[in-house]
Amino acid sequence: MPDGTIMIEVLQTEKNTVVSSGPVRLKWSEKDRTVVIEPEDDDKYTMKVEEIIQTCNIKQQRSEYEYQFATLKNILGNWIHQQKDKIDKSFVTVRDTRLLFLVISKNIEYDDAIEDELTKLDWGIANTPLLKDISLSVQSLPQCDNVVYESFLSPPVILEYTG
Amino acid sequence: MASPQAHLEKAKHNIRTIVLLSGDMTKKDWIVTVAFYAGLHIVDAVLYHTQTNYGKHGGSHDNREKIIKQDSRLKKIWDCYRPLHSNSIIARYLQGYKTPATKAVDFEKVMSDEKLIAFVKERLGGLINSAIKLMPAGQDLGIKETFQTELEDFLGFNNS
Repeated sequence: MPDGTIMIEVLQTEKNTVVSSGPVRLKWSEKDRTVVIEPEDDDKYTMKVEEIIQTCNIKQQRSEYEYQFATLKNILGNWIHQQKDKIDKSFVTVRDTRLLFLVISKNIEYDDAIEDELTKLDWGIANTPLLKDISLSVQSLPQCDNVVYESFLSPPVILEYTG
Repeated sequence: MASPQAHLEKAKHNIRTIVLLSGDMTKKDWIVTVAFYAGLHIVDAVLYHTQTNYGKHGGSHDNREKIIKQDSRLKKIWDCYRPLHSNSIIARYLQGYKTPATKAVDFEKVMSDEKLIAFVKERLGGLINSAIKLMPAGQDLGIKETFQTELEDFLGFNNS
């Protein structure tokens, strides 16, 4: 094996045995070193330490975002429950570069109270450290047909809250 | 970027446009829209004074909103600005999807005359009140006075 190469056996297989235990350290200071990866199917491949660290960082960020998004779903669900007498439908979708929480009112008349509650919700989410990576806007619409509100739902709709 | 004074002049221009539009209450959708843009220019003037690194026009709505929501001093402005923006979106976009099979949303039904007047008074008026407190003394270009005098008849300040 060439110098500067790290061997990583991903899993123990019938043919191979794990030759060492304990942590494998991948250091940024060794970012140019090559890592040989031996997955379960023995289809070896190589990556640079730098690539692996970047991949791990992405995975960490994704896990963190998934946790934040799950928290957001709960917050929005609770809010909808509190407003259920006034809310007909609600969605989470993507609009421009942000998530959009779209709320369809049961009434066609503009409702100051819903607007104030949405404004409060939006500010609260934006200022919750736990949701630091969530970028969200909120929008209410008066009672309208699906053709109307669907124009706000850039595909894909991520979530539709029901009953 | 436009100077804060230029933003405030544009806001004044928009307020005067509301006066013109208010002569025909079938134009409520445009009154709401112009009220929002008056608010937007006032917000940009405030951001110029309150954001160290703002330095240029807020750019997209997304960016402007993000900046506002990150600054607790701007909470009261946000309480007025977001409904202005949200309602202007309803006014601008919900009427364009009329199809035979679809019940169009008529902004006339969304906002009665009385509700519109109360909306402009509370949201744009509230935004102005909060904004001038964040501007250096003497640099608000009399925006509150413009709002009150130009829209006196429309908003019925004498009757309130």
